[in-house]
Order: sequence, then C-alpha cells, then structure tokens
Amino acid sequence: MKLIKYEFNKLFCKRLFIICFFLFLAANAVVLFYTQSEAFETQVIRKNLAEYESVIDDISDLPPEQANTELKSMLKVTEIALELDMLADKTDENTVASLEGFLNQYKEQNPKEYAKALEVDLSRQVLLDRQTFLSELVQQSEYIVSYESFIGEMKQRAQHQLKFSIFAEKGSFSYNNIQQTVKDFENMNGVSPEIGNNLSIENSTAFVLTDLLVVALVFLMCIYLFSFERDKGLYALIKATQKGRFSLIASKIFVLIVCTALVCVVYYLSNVLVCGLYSGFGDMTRNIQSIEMFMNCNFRLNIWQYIILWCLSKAVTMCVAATVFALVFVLIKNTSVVYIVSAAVVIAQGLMFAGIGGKSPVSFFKYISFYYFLSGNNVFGNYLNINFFSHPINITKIYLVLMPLLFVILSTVVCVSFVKQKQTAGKGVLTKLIEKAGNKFSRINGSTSVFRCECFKHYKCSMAIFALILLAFSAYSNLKDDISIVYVSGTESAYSAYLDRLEGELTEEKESFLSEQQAYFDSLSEELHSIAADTSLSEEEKLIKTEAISSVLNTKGEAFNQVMQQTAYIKEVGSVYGITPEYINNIVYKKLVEDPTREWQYFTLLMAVIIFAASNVFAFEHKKKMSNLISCTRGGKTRLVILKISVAMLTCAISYVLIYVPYYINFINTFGKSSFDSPIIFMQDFSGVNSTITINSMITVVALMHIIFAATAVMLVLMFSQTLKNNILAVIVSSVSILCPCLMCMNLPNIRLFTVFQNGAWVWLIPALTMVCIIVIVLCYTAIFKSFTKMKITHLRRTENADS
Amino acid sequence: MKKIISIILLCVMIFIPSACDKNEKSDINSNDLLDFNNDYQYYYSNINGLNLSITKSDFGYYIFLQNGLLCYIDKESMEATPLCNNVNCTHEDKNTCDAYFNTYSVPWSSGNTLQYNNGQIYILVRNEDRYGNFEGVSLYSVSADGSKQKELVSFKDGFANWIIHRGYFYYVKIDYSDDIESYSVEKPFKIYRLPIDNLKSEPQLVFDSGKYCDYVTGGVHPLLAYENYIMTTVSPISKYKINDINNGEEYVGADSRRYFTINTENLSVTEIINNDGEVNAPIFYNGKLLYHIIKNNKFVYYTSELDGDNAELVKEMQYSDNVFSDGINLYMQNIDELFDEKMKNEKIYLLDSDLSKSGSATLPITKFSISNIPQDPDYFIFINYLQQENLSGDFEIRCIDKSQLKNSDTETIEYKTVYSSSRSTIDNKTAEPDDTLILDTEDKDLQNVFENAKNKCYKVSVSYDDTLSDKETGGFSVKLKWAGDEGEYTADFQILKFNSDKDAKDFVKDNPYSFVNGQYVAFASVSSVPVEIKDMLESIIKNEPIDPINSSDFSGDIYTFS
Repeated sequence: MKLIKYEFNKLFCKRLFIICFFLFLAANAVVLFYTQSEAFETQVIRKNLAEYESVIDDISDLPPEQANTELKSMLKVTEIALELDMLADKTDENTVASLEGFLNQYKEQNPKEYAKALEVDLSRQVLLDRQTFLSELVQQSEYIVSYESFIGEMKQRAQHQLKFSIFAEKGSFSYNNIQQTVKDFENMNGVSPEIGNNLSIENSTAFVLTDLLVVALVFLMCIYLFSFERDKGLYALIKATQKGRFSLIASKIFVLIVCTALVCVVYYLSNVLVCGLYSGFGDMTRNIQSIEMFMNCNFRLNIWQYIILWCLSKAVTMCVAATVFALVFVLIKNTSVVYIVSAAVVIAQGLMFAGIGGKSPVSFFKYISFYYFLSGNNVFGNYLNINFFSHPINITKIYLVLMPLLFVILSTVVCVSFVKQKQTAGKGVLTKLIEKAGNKFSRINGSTSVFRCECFKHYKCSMAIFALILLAFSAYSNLKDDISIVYVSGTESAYSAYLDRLEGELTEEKESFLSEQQAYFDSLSEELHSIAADTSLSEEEKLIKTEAISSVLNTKGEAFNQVMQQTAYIKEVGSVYGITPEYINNIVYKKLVEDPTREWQYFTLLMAVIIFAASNVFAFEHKKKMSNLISCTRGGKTRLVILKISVAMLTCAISYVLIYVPYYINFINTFGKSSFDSPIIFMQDFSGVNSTITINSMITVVALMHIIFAATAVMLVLMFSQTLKNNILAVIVSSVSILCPCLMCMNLPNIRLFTVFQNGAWVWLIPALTMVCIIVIVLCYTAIFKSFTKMKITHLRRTENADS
Repeated sequence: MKKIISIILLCVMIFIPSACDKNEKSDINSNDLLDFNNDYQYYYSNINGLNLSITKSDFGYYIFLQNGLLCYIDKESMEATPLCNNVNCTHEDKNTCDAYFNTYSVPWSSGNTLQYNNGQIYILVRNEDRYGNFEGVSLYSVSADGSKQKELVSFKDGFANWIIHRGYFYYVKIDYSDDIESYSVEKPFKIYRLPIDNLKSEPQLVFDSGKYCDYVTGGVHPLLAYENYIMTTVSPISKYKINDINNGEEYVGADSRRYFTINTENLSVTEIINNDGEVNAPIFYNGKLLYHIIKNNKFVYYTSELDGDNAELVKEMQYSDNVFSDGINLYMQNIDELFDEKMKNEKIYLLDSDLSKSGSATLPITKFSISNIPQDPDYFIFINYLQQENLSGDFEIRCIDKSQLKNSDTETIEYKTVYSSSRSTIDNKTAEPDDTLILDTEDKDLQNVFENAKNKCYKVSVSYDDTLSDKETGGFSVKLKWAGDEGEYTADFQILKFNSDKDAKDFVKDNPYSFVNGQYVAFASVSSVPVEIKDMLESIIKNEPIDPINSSDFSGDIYTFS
C-alpha cells in the first residue's frame, strides 16, 4: 500500500503533470467551444435554444408521422413568411414578378400554411434562424419515421438479399453476415426513437483533440513513473524493495491505470458538459437510436447510459494503450529510443488505419487498432462485422475480448521484464565500436572553443545530426520529385498552352492574337450552325462533321473562354491600380501559392525537427550532471547562453533550407520563373490582396514569416528545456503546445499565410504577428537568461582532515 | 419410278439438313467464341467508344449507376440489389456503403468502368485527395459478392480507355495537345498492355497511333477485343491553320476514321481497308468482321477476316442502316428513322445472317438508348430516369428479355423492372408474418382480427393511440404507405374496437375520417386516401383482409371522406 501511495506522490507532486492536466483540460474545452461556435447550425440553435426546445416539447408527444407533417408545415410557414418579407424589400420588376410567382404557387398548394404565414410578424433574421432549426428538426423527424421500417424490414431485406446467388452461398461471409446482422438487430424491434436536442452528444463524441491530449498525458505519466528514476539513476535504490521488484512494478502499473482512467473520465465527461452547456443537453432519457448517427447501434440504451459506456470504452482503450507505452519504457532503456519507438508505433498504427481499405483482405489490421477503437463511436455506437475466415465477428465482441486480454498479457510482460532485466541504460555495441574507431583517429589537442563544444553536444550527443541527415535525404527527394502537372482534361492542357504563349505583360501583339483566336472560334461556331442547317446532309453525316468541331469547342474553346475571362479581369485590375495587365498561369501558380497541405506539412516537419533538436540544448548538462562545470566558462554565463541559442538557431536555419528550398528550386526548374515578378493580384483568387505586391515579394514575406515563427519556436523549446531541465519533458510539452496545433490547423483552410494574403488581412496581420513573435522571443530569452545565470552552483563539501 | 422418287427423297433428306447445318453454322452462336470469363465482353461497347457500364458474370450482371452505385442483377430471379451485403445499410451514404465506387470514367459514357474476369470484377477507381484533386487511378479487383476489394496497381495518369482480354490488361494512354494553333486536342495515343497476374511489370507497347497520323481528335478512344485481336480506331485530323481560314480557305475538319486490328499474339498491326471505299463501323460477327462502306448513297456491307483480309460483299442496304450483333442475333437500326420526330420509342430490326430483315420490334425505351450496342444475347438492360431532366432523381433498372424479339413484329415489347430507387424497401407487405407479435388482449374477437391481418402480412403493430376515445376497448395499428403530390406518405392507421356498434358510429360522427364496420373502426386521420388504402382498411375491420397492395400498384384514384 505504501508503495502505491509513494507512486501516486511521484506523479501528483510533479508540478508539470498538474499544470499539463489543467492546461490541456482548458485547451480542450476552449477548442471544443470554438469548433462548436464555428458550426452555423449549432450557433443558430444556441441563439434560439428556448424556442427550439419549445418546438420539440410541442411535437414530442405526437406520433412520428404526425410530428413530421407538423414540422414540415411549420417550416413551410416560415419559408412563405420569408418570401413575403423579401417581397416587401424588392423593387426590381423581374425579382418581384418571380417572388410573386412563387407565392402564388404556395397559395395554391399550401393554403393553410400561406394563411398562417400572413399572420407571422417576425424579423427576417428570426425567420432565417427558424428556418435553420426547423430544417434540422424536419431532418430528424424524417429519420425517426424511417427508423421503424429500417428495423422492422430488416428480416425482409435479409430474405430479399439471400435470394441472390452471390449472397446465398452457404458458408460465405456474405451469407453469414446477413444472418448474423438480422439476429443482432432483433432486439431493436419496438425501439421508438424520439425527437430532441442531439447536438451535445453529437459534438462531444466526435471531438478528436481530446484523444490526442489524453494520449500525451498518458505518455507523460509513463515518463514520470518509468523513465524518471532510470534517468536519475535511482533504480538501484528503489528496486531493493521489501517484497522484491514485483510489488514495485505492480504498484507503478496500478497507479498508471488509475490515473489514466481518472484522466479519461474527467476529460471525456468535460466534453459532454461543455457541449451541453453550449447547446443544451436535451432529453437524455431517450433511446440512443433517436440520434441518426447512432442508427446502427444495436444496443438498447438511453443517451445517458450510452455516454457512460462511451466514457468507459475510452478509459479502457487508453488504459491498454498506457500498458503498451509502459512495455516500451520497460523494454527499452534509452529514453531517446523510447520516444522514437513510441512515435513509430503510433505512426505505424495510423498508417494502417488510414491506408488500408475497409474491404481489403487485410482490413483486420485497420479495425483492430487503437485508432479505430478511439475514433468517434466505433465501439458501441456503430455496427460492424469483421470477416474472419468467412465468419462475421462483431467488432464490439472483439473489443470486449481483446482489451482485457491485451491488458493482462501486456501487464504480465511488463512485470516480468521489469523484474528480470536491468533497468539502466548502457552503451550499445555499435556505439562502442564507433567510439573505439573514432578514438584511433582523433586526439584531444588542448582546449576547444565553447562554440565547438556546444556543436559537439548538440549534433553528436543529442543526435541532431541524424535529423539533418534525414532531412537531407528528404530534400533530395523533393528536388528530384516530378511536380509537372498531370492534365485531367484537354481544357486544362489547352489553357496551359495558351498561357505559355500569353504569360507576361499584355501587349498589342497578344491582343491581336486573342482577336484572331476569337475569330477562329466564332468561325467554328458558325460552321456548326451551317452544318446543322444544311438539309442536304443526313443526320449521320452531320454527326461526323460536327464531332470534331464540337470536340475542339468543348476543350480549346472552353480554355479560350477562361483566357478571355482572365483577360477581362487583368484589364480591370490594371486600370484600377494603374499598372500594365499581366497574365499568370493559374494552374501552375496555384500549385505554388495555394497548395493547402504543403504549407502546413512543411511547417509541421520543421517544428518537429526543431523540437527534437533543441529540446536537449539546455537539458543536456542537467541530465549529465555537468551544470557545475559549464557554468564557469570564460566570458561568463551570458556568452554561454548566447552560444547555445546560436547553435539551436543554426540547426533551425539548416533545417529550414533543407525543407523549403528544394521545392522552390524544383518548381523553378519545372515551370520557370517568368511570372515571379508579376503582381499577385492578377490571379483572381488573390483579388482581395489590395496591393501590387509581386509573387516574388509575397513568397519572400511568407518565407520570412516562417523563419520568424521557427525562431520563435526555437526560443520556446529552449525555454522549456531550461525550465524543465529534462529533455523528454521538454519534447512532450513542446509537442503539445506547438505540434498539436499545427496538426489541427492542417484541416482548417482559413488558417494559412496565403489565405491571409487572399483576404487582404496581411497588411496588418503580418506586422502584428512579427511583433508578437519578437516579444515572445525577447520574453523567452529573458526567462532563459535569468534561469541560467541564476543557477545555484552546488559545491562539494570536503571534510577536513582530522589531523589538520 | 418409285425407286427414283425414293432416291431423290433420300438425297433431299441427306443434303438439306447439311445445308441447314451450314446455314446454322453461319448462324452458329458465335458467342461460343466468347468466353466471357476471360475475354473482353465486346457487346457492351461500340466502335464509337461508347461503353455501357454493364458486365456479365456466371450468375448475373453487374451494372454501375451514374452515381457510382454498383448493383447486381441475378439472372435467375431477374431482380437487382446493390452489391452490399450489409442488411443494415440504406445504400444512400457513399462514404459508408460498400457498393459505391469513385470510378475514373463516368458510368454510361465513353471509357470502360468495370469488367468481369475470372470470378472477379475489375474496376478502375479515381484517386483523389481530400479536396477532390486528381491523384491518379487504381485498378481494383472486387469479389463477386463485393465483400473483398483489393487494390492491384496504381497509375499517376488517367487512361482514355481500358479492357481486360485473355490474361492482359490493355489501356489507352493519351497526352493532350499543347499546340494551340492546331485543330487537334490530343497528341497521338498509345495502347499498352500488362499481364493481369503481374500488373507491376513493365508495360508493353501494343499500338502507337503516331505512326499513322500526327494528330487525332479528342474524346473517345474505342478499344474492343475479340478472339486474338484488339481493335481500335484513329481519327486523324489535318493541321488547322488560323491564317488559312482568315484567307478564306475552306474548313477541312477531320479526316475519316481509320480502323486497326492488332494481333495479340504477334502484335502485328493491320489496317482494315476496303478497296471499294472507306470502312465504317466494323463489328464482330461469326468469327469475322462485318462493316460497311458508303457507295452511291447506300450502305454496302462486307465481311472479312479479323485482320481485314478476304473481304466479301454481303448485301447493299439503305443509307443509315446500322447493323450490330451480340454474337447470336443480328440487329439493325436506321438512324435517320430514329431522328423522325414521330418515332417516340426505340425501333430495332432483326436480320438473318444474309442481312435481310426477319422482323422488327419497338422497345419501350427512349430513342438512341441502344446506340449500336447489342448487349449480351439474353437481355437488354437499361436505366430509365423517371424524370429525364434529373439524372440524380428516381430511376428504374429495366430488363428486356431478348427472346421476345423473335416473336414480335412492330409490337411493343414488355420489360421487367428489376430495381427501383423509389422502392428501396418493400412496401405495404411483410415477407412473412411475424410470429413474435402477439396482441395482449382477452378479447378473442379482436385477437382474431389482429391475427388475420398479421397472417395476411400486413405491417401491424400492437401499439395504438388509446387516447382517441374512452369508449374503445382495444385496438392495434396498421402501417400503410402511398405516394402523394409531395412524395411518399406513411401512416399508422388505428384499428379500434368499441363496446357497441353505437359507440363506434358515435366515434365516426365526431371523427369523420374513419371507416366503420360493426364495433370496429379504422381511423384514417387524413381527409383523403388512395382507394386501395380504403379497400385494405375496410377489409381488415370486416375481418376478411385482402392481400396488401404495394403503393407502386395503386391506380391513382383517391377516396375523399365526405
């Protein structure tokens, strides 16, 4: 018992763990709140929550079909009232006539609703909001109406399917699956879904960030429980427990599981709470099948029962994941390698989950994975049978058997490994050989400079050089990659061909070329008309003659239309800004400036390298217990701090060049740079840039911003490294605070530097971001400097010689 | 004399069957030459490049709908179902239903979409990133029941067309023209092949159209195969100069098509040439090619070997008489006749082996649905959109049994609807009575009415609205469906039993939207219902329930409560 108590103490006494727990909880809540507020429908319902719930109350007692009719009628009344409201505003004759036409139709087809609409006296915004939430309710009620037949006719559908020979082969997966599905859904007969407020459960169970944050916390717990003592060399002490090592590892695992479960319960229930407080909880005593996303749930559960089960499943999955991490920590003694292996396991699972198709022969590996069990409502909220040698095995059953089994097996292996193996890290065989070989060729020749020393620690001891070598390979691959455009239509190819000719300033020669082309296409159109009107030709002859012309008009003609539209646009822009109109090949330059994934992928990779490389800069000496030595350098601690930062910045600069530059070189080699000096505003997608900034300048500004962000990230990581005095912890905290937001932003198209240019916000946003980064850099530097220079030097106490 | 007559009769008896055999041999089901398991099923495409998204298998047909849903038609029952073995799937969500594929070519247009080969269905799928940008194509093999799908090989570029024939995967690779001053839209195309059991090997060049012309028109790239030959067509085009047209020169346009066959064994290429004129629309029939030339405003039909050798005149036919064959039957359509506005439906003629007309039929499908594509010898299969202008709306898959064609002459042929999107669930009738459903009541009479309705396969439910009247002693509900102006309606009609006939009539007075029989009332709650609904409800309360009528069989007459 005492061991367990001390293990709990080890965890809860760590300020970082407590800070991370609450920080992540807050971040989770804030992001969840933000994503909900960005969803239009949720916003509207929240704004009109009382009315929304009042409508639900009014119709909840009605039979589903009647409720559906009632809701449709209410929606129709709102739509008519909106049309009437719009009519009052319009003055344009055509619009008025069109609206009056619609209204007359409504009057004829829906007289009751029309009469009611005339009596409605609400503002347009209120009517629009009503239309939104009533549409949502109508959709709900239609689903509810269809649910009974969906369940009631399942047997018939199965019998219908079994009439087909391809499904009726006895012993085949299809045959078995059909039979099993009917059996599993039998108990759903009689389940009556009810209409209600489903937003909280829908939003809270589909939120992904929580899983990432909980995994990060679990990993942090593993570090404190398994790696902390190893790094401090304390295992020699703690392993000599009264009952041997087993009780020690058992208590560690117990504490890990309990804390994991606690974290899961708090985090996942907080999701439900945040969503419920934002958009209402609704009636949680309804069947879970009342919500369309749970249509395929074959358990008779209320919503609140489902939430409990969902929370439990998350907790169980996380606990098993925790034992996997524990196994990695116990088997591998080198903490850097632990991180790499853990990352590799996570990435491998992710690749299998994303890369394997649902019906692939190896789909087993897709579905039997932590990703699948943690995603959404896959365990209890969905119905899936896996093909196991033609037998359908339900995923829920697999989960219920596999998780406890995995837990028992993994825990056993962890315990045995901990008990039997030495838990201190030694040098690997390869490392010893390399050092031996190195010692033959190098000699220590007096003292070395501080800068060279820092470089040695950083690149060799902290293995930053390996990251740079990997980046070098990646850079080579980017340089040689074939980025030429694959045209999927003749129109695209023809457009590119036109732009090859027209790219650059609009000259008189180009204008006359365009006129000639226009005449050419006009003549083709005339030719088409004359062939169609020619009565001496048979239909087949007409078809043959017009086929070629139509082919050209549909490809090159379309491309020419695009060119003419572009011409009109650039002329307009030219006249507004007083500059010569210029053509830019939209297809090619969109690749450069509008690739939605490349921007964030490169930046995330850069951040990952920075975190890996910089997190050990200040933590290294603390880990190796060399702080006392390095503090007494010539020139003082200030110089040392500056040199350490310089080394990290050097790595950052090299990484930046290796990641970003190859692509630009490849682009220029493939497409040239003829339009680099053209104002970006000549690309229609950048019509909001409100400036004549050139493509070159824009790319330079973006590159500079990336460098500034990278430098800021370096300072942040260095600050974590100095403050935490631990490499792995610095990596964890940096990953969560820098990498996770990057990963999230990959899916948000509005959060990109190029988007900022597109909507014209760059004028104030770029300077603002620069100022913020500078402030952060200064603050981080100050924090590092103060923390480093004020470090207490512990002196070794010497006992005096008794004689003297 | 008698002896002479006997000898003559004997000779006739010996030789006439031989002659018939000969004719029969020429009429021999050349489909015997088509092993649809290994060979390309040429009868689902034509030399103009149009491909029907249908493929035949041992037990039925697979057909793609335009929204990417793959359906299976069972040959025995002639019913269709989406190729998804999940009973709990509504087949409406492309992301969750296994029967949806993002095909590279749009189904029912140019370019092959699927092919059955050796027990697997091969489908060319378009790969996209999450923003819908094209990232290449992948060839998938799908098991016959759709339960397994395997990606075999990926390509960075798309193909204009592809087929699988006798162990090889053939595909047409195109490059779009970047010469904006030429009339062409494409550079010459190439045909490659890969062994189907080794798709990752180096592709073998089979045909390069650049050897025969500088440029081609774009659009379709027909690729057919039959026995040991691949057939393709090249539509060369003259370089079109803008200056020429400005200088008043006449528009030249496309040169006529050239047809090539490629021997799959030695890869020799032969152009199909007829010394009497330009070859048009070659088809495969009876182990040979059948094509026509245009001469003196007539279509003159020739037959030749598959490499174009030994051309023989068959028959002179009218201008625009297009002949095509499914291997057993010969058909003809006159395109000019079809363009006649008076012709509403698709007319087709049956021909004998000497191309003389032996019959005709008017098919109950819209004109130009066949487009010289014969389909397999057993069925014509079509998709009929209920609203022609809305191709994403309701539709039906219809099958026409070709055996009817032999017995008809200008009479409309019947079709069978094998699948209807508006009837994705079975209507007013259950497949069999649900024995688990028991009405909990001590009233034997009411129980009897309930059981009779249940045994007739009505969709009954033990729950009912007991708040309608406090004089009712029990009841149940019946779910019935019908189509109205604004879509489908479904209602739970309440069957109530009252203490007495008077109570029942009193209820009806207050609730006129009801039917009454003795103590029983069927409460409709709507002012009008289809006549069939009325009939069904009245029969239930009379305790003589009629067979449930599905809404698609309703006559359209409405009963309005007075």
